[in-house]
Amino acid sequence: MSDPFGNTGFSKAQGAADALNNFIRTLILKCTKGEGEVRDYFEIAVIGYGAQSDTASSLLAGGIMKISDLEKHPLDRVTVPKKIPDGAGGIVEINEEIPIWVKPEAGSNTPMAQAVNLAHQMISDWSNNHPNSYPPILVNITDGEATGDDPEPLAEQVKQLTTSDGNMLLWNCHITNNPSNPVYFPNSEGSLPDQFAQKMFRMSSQIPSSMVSTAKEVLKLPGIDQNSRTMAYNADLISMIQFIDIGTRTTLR
Amino acid sequence: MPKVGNEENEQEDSFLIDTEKGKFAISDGASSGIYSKLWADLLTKNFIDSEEILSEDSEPQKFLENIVGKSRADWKAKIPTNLKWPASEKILEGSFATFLALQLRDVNKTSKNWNAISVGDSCVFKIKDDKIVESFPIREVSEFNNSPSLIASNFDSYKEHIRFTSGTLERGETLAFATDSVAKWLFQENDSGENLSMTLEAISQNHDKQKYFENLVNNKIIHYDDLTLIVLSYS
Repeated sequence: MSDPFGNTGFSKAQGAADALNNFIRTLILKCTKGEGEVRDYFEIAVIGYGAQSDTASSLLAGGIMKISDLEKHPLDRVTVPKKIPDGAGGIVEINEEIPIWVKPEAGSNTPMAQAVNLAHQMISDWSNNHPNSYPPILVNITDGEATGDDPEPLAEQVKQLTTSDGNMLLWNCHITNNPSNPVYFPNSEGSLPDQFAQKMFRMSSQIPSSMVSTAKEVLKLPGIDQNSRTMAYNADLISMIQFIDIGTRTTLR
Repeated sequence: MPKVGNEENEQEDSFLIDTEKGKFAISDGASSGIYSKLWADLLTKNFIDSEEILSEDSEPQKFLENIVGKSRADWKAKIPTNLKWPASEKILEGSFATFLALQLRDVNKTSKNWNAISVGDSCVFKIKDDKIVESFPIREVSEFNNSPSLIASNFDSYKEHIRFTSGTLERGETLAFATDSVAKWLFQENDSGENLSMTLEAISQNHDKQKYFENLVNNKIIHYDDLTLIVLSYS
């Protein structure tokens, strides 16, 4: 994950951390209702893997955290430039302090099986305590080169977890150095260019019918259909955020 | 009533009636925004308080611009200035609501004229002989969708979605005003042959209207949402 991200010049680890922090910020904004209170429509966990040899660990201090607790307790705040109107027809750049919850950590290994196994334990416990909730969504952001044990059988076990509303969903977001065209929600394994992407395809869930129209609308891809899998391949940062965002839109309706 | 399970202060629908002036207004604050209840309340209040009469001669866009303009000024004055993130970022998007306003005027002792203006999917129905004979702005249940037009506190795209109509009301007829979830249910009741006059009378006589509607929501007959229904019977 320390390799450059597509054509951006910054590392995949930084890209993944930025995507996650943006995603959490966006989710908090979506859950902000009424007169500004954050409503607990979601609980989130973040698992990092590979930073320290072949281990996976929960990155949020509270394990699975309510969205309102995430808003109250960021890991840190960073200053970023932001362009805003100056009121006289021009643009001025200001510094804005924004919260973050994860920091990039890159290692040389990708112990994906450990991460999926830890996710399985956390989700299994959570689903037992929330039997009537919308099924959890597990989003795996990786460069796809799993090391160590094969994560595919564990992914199958994860996809069998259920709540009363159905099976949980496994989304895979595949980041590579290959600058070829990105693929979102592919509907056949044969259309993918390498064995790692094909493994990601098999590990991914079939897109729920309720998400098909949202995915087509957001990504402007009319070819997405009920055979599509919840997978992105060679995603750029903005599309990665859009990809993950699709998973939350239907649940907020 | 608020969404089932929510507190009364979480309700984002607004309605106001001034029977002396013959004015009725209903607004459904969008739950995607913040301060939507405030926005919906300001739209209905500024219609009721306005000296301007909504008539066949009104210019709909100009009529609504006046109400929206006053509501925006009031909204800016009431939003706290010390909001912290995420509210401070969310408020930049503004607040949003549907809006339906109706002005009733006497023609003679047995009939009235009405004019109505709307943006979005809050509806008014005219019920005669136990059935819906007129509905505005939605004409049939298939027209409802997840993205109704809305009046925004911050920008003017609502102007392309203003609808205006006129109608009559005779003795024995009923007007019913409803936000979208109840409106959709009324269409479905009507389309399945139910006697709407009896349905509305039963609701009126029910001592626990909240429970009545909670049962409909829990049985998925009415969509989970804030619910507003106002019934005006001309007898």
